[in-house]
Amino acid sequence: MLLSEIYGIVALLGGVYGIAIANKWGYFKSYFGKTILFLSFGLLLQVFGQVAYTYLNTFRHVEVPYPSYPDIGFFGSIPMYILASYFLMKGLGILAIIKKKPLKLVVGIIVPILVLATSYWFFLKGYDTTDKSAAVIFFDFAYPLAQAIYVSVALVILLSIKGLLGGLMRKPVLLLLIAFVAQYASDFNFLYQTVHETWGPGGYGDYLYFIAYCIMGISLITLTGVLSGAASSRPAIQDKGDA
Amino acid sequence: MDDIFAQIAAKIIEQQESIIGPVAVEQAKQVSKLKVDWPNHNVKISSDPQGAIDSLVAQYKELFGQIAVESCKEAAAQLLNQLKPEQFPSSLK
Repeated sequence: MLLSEIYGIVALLGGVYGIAIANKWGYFKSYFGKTILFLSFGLLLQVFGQVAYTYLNTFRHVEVPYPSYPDIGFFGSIPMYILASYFLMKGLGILAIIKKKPLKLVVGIIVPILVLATSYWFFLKGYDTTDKSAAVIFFDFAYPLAQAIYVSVALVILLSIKGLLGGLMRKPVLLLLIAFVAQYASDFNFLYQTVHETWGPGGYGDYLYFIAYCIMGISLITLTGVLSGAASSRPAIQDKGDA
Repeated sequence: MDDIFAQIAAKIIEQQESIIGPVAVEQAKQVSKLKVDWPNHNVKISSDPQGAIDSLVAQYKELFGQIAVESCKEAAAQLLNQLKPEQFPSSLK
């Protein structure tokens, strides 16, 4: 039970840390600055969702507050992750890579269709609207479909950069992409458990979120490490260029 | 002629700046053959223009690998048309 009440701290630290380091990447002036900022906003919105959920669940004794105030944070984080993944894709020049390689173009089309189809199959096939409010129906549709967008973008990036991404940014970018997938897995599981009425605080779903937040936090830390890595590698590069 | 290489360098820095922000300019300033006055978007090449561009591309390659090389090629594409093939910096061939 304790983990479900405190793991939001990891997201809080990650979100604050991300905003703090975004200035080194030019805030909104660069694709990586935007990626870091939107990822951080997403983490902070998740924190809001966690706090609101814990409050309603623990203090107001609402067993599953859905849809309710926590969804401002949980659902609000999705467009942030979509924007973060989109700007990461722009920054890595994925569209140009896809256009040049027909196979990667096919992958870029198939992956989002597969993810959307999976989400539809799990959550929306045979969906019964009887006795459901408009808000419930909206969130039941919007959560899986919107989440499918950012994970699709992340997967397309992951499959497109094979053999091209290297250097100091390789590790943080891969971690960032894994973080998107881990976040999606956590959200997917949350929806699945909520639909099947098996979700409860302190369950394995909380550990999934904890892991996703940790990976996001670590990816932000390794991004900062790149800056010092670049500084220490400079003389070698210059020697190479000058030779 | 050196002016075209300086323009190529400026284009590359500009594009990398749109990707990674101020880090791009810091990296460019480490290339000894380049004199970067970025507040005025002014780049001068002191010697060996092809080598200067190669060093600049190598600087970004150290960060992103081949992806950086591809985006440098893309940034320089239009200006490269003004050079003869034998004048191309080897990193952008």
